[in-house]
Amino acid sequence: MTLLDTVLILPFTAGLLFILTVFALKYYQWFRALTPKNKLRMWKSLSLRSLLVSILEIFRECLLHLRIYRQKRRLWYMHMSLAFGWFLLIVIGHAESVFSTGHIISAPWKSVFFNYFSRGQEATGWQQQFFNHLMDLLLLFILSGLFLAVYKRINSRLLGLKRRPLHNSPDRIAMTFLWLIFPARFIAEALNHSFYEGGGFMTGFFGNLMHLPGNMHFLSDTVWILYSVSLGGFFFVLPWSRYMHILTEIPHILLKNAHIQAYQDEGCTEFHIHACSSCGICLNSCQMTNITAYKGQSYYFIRNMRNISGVCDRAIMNCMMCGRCLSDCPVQVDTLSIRLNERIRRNNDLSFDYAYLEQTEQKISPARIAFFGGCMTQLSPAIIASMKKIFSFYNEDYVLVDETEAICCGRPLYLSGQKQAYFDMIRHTRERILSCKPELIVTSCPICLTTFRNNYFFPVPVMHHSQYLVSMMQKGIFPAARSNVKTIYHDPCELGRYLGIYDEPRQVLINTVDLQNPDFRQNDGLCCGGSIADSEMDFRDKQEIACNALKQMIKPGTQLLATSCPLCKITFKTASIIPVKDIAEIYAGALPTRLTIEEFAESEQMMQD
Amino acid sequence: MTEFGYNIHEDLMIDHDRPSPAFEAVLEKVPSISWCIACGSCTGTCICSDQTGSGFRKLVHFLRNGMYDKLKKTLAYCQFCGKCSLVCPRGINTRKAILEMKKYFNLYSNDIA
Repeated sequence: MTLLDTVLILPFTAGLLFILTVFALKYYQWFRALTPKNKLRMWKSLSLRSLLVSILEIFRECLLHLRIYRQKRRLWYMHMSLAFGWFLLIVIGHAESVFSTGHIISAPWKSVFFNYFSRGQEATGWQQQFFNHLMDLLLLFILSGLFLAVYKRINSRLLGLKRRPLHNSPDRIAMTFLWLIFPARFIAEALNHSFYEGGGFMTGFFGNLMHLPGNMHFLSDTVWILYSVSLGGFFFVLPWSRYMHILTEIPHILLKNAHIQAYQDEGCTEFHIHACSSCGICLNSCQMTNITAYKGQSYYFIRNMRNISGVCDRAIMNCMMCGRCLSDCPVQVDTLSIRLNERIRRNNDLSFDYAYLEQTEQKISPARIAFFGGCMTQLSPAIIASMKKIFSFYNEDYVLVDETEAICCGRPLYLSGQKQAYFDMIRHTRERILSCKPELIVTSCPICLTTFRNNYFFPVPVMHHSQYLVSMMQKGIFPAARSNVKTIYHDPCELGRYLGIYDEPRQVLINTVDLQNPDFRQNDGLCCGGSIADSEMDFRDKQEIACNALKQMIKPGTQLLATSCPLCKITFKTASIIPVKDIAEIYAGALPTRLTIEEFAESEQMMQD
Repeated sequence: MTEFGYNIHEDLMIDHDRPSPAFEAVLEKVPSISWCIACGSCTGTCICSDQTGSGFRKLVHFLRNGMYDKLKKTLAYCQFCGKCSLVCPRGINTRKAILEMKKYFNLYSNDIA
């Protein structure tokens, strides 16, 4: 090996050794941080079948990026060409080296700088020619993706991103090295072929085109060294950049398939935040991107979590937790849990005193159905009145748990990170609800429902009022009148993305009004802006989000906006030009009036008179 | 002197000379707190006002006048439901103000009597 060869392979080899050591150390550290229970779960999940499932997902998501394909085709081509193209370039480059030398295991630089080391060796057979053309095709594939990546920095709208992420310095440096790698390789190979015969359809063609004199040979060597330096430089900057995701996505998928969640332990959180590829899709799904110049969105949040500087309080609290970023995330980084964990870490020890709830608890009369409106329903008495009417219509034995003495379900406390206070609160609320010995608990508030389902562990079924109405309709008792009011239904975040209840409210509406479909529905539903999870945003910003959401949802001719969350109703009502109603109000309005015997006799009497 | 049947409550007397560093600190984080007109909508809707007599208006009053003992006690009752922020005619971010007050007293609990 000559001095030039040593100079050539040194940056690449040093970088490779460095990055392998860093990955080994970091992964060891993060795996150690997993709780013993999760470690056991991890080992148990490594059966052949689940491993095959994970490998298939790794192939589909880390290389082919199929989740991005479903959302944005051009962006998908950019990501896929770089990831899959580079992967194939390494694999086929190694195969070429194996074919040429006959050694299956060889030093990594032998295949990476294969054309440098095989200078002057004529392609002897068609197999060699085939490899040359194939490698050129792959390089062209990657360069086309790289062109899109460069163009994305100029005009990201072409790739379907309204807002492109603003990267920090390590990301920019790593990106520059990454962008240099492939053009450097292309030029190095083309120069190679201008001095020596051979090459594929692209490098060979450009090599022949240049026809450089022999004394310019140093140019070729220089560009080969540049190629090695850009590879080495990329490896050295990688641990501080977003490109940690390239390999971290693999353990992330393994952990995900072992059902280990980010909120369970710190080790898993580290894998999540380093698996984020900072693609910027979450920036575009976040409704706050349009209204706030402040960078609190998931992209910036996860990036700052990776950095040593950390995230400021304002950025942590400034999120509506609507879950749109999570449902769009191609890597499925659990941003909500990570953010919530961070809130708990900072606000858990704030003082609270709910002893007064014990002293003043009222006796609630026992009933079959306990209806819990929640704080937000209290602000919209029409919903309570409608539910009363519905319960009376179906002759239900019901009681309103929080009619006279209101109590919170505790979710606002939990979402603000006051976990201790939250668990104290749910103890009181649970006792109060169960004191009426119900067989069924119905709530009209999806926020309460999420808490009831997650942490209350009621011994009886808990239903959203839409589910209750559907269960009544399934018994064959339908509302009498179906009006022709053109209505669109807004999916509340907590009911939809959190609990997956999409069909029941629609079934209620199909039987009562003329239901139309808005553009943003179900998993893609928009947040009303009034979220209790955001304690940072001021009144005006919330209004603006509500206005923007209404603009995107309401079509010409729409007469009514229906929703099934009291908070969404209140927020939209202040910004909407069309009436906003809860499904309970619509259903109660469509019910026939059932006359009591006295009322019937009275009306008969009036008719006779 | 005519007796009207009312007494002066020493602990409720407003003393403008008493400094309120907590108010300054919270005001810096939540400037909208200065918009409060003490209308009482928040107290009217507060879910714990029935049982404890507390409310956001009261919190602001205690904070402004440096009545920290009462403030800390009343703050602990808050269930953080956010109804006050939905009814406030001035659009004050009440939840953030309450959170900032709690954080302030958590941080400086030893310094403040």
